[in-house]
Amino acid sequence: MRPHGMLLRSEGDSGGPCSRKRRVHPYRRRGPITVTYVERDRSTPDSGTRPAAPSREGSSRERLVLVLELRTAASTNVIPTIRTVAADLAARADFDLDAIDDLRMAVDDLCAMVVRIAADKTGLRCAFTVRPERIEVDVEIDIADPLPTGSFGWRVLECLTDGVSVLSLPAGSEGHDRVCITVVKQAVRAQRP
Amino acid sequence: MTKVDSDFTADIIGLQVAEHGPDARVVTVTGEVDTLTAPRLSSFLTTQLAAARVVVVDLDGVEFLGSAGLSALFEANELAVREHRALRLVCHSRIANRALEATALREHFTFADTVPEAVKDPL
Repeated sequence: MRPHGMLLRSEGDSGGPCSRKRRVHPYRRRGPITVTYVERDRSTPDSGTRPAAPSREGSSRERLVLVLELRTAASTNVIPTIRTVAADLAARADFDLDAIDDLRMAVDDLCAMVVRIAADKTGLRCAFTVRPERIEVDVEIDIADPLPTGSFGWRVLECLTDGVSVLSLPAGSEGHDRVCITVVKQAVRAQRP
Repeated sequence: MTKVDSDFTADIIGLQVAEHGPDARVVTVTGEVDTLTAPRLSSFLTTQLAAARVVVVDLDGVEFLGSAGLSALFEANELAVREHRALRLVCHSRIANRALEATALREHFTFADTVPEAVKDPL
């Protein structure tokens, strides 16, 4: 599979719909994104979870929790990059194809939703916590309008993931509400021999 | 949206139209249909529905279909129903099919297996 569903046509390329050039996504040219990548042992104290039991065949990979954090401006232009990162992390974590697509779509949906109601000049923080059996995505942002928790988009978000929760954070910049929305997606691992 | 942005979305979504006789048009969508590109799809489909009685949307080359894209298709379908036109989807893109299934929107649309089949059926 191609984890990056990307299509690029260069300037003046009048080729057919499927003509592809070097796979550099045009969205990448837009806006800086700060990335922090942390790899830590699962036994690190972690919000109430117990240390991983040393399983008989527990490879070091099984014990790792990867945390990837993106900080960027709250702009629609960065959403394709964020959803691609989500899909890529899920693919690397061996999620099954439907779970990868669902996560990509859920992250896109969530980011589009919060960017639409974002307070002026706010930043968007998006953190992915990749565990062996699931990925958690935290999206944190200052909002100027309430979250549309009754909307079609929100229902889609709930359909696509295994859990959506909202946390109100201490007030953000200029008195705006600050929220952190967390979605969880289980790996639903592909069948293995 | 600035002019630069609308040019820039042309890199992300591909929209082509072909006429099949006086009454049918085939719109081929490729690339990614998301918040930024869905308005282009929307207005493109509106234009085609005004010009032809049968509009076939070939989604086989779609590499991403988000909520905004689904809404664009859904609204085009509603428009077609109101105006007594036919909007038919041809979709073998796994990603697009997954999006239609996960959102339970599939049942709202008319599907055909191939473009020739979709064009052939009279309204």
